Amino acid sequence: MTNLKEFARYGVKLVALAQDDIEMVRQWRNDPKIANLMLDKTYITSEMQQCWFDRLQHATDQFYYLVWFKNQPIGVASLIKVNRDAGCCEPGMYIYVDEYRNNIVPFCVAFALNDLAFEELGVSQLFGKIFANNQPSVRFHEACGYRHYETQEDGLGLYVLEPEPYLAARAHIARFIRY
Amino acid sequence: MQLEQLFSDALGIPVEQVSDVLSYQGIPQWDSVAHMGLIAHLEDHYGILLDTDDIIDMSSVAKAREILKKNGVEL
Repeated sequence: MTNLKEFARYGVKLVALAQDDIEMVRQWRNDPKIANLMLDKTYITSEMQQCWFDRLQHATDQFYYLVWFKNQPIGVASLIKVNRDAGCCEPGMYIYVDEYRNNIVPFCVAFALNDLAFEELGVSQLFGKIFANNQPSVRFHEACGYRHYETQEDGLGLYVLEPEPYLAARAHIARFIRY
Repeated sequence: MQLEQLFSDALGIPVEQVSDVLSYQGIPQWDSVAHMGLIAHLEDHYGILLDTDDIIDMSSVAKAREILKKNGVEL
């Protein structure tokens, strides 16, 4: 388990999700603009959210962070299915605040999360799942260095990111992050 | 080289398609990834370094023109 409560890079701060955050996060997650991006689109009730958060406190294989940018919470980032023996996990993120949902900010968040996974958790592979018809997300992941290795029958593309291609890809874009 | 031509080259679209109203995400070709390529193209061509906040604010050709002028570029 990581005791890391904060991780700041690229102008972004990842802060471990706290009890006071979960109602705001639940409302973000249930907003169609976010829910429609999720593989699981189930509506989350307050009770479901609280149960999930309580379980999270004891979990050693998943970590959720509130994303802060310019002194405001803008989204959520996560590392799930953390397997230290296999040295892998699955990063995830969404940005709720419209002003920052595109452009360079998603790269800032993704890079902070990837750095945290590779450097602090010590994993060597990050896995991603993207529907093939979600071309903007495919392009984003490929720009971050992800490699496509399989497409499931349901059209879900499976991607993997390893340190070397990540660092090369990050260097191309992080040079524009001048905070 | 005209600003319109730089946008055309960076986004891979005909120069006729570039006007001040062309906006970020207004066409599929101008997404987050292409935006980074566009910024690199503009910085290399004009020999400037843009603030990250200006990169975020560059939401249209008109806005790009304004930001470039603010950074001392004569257009």
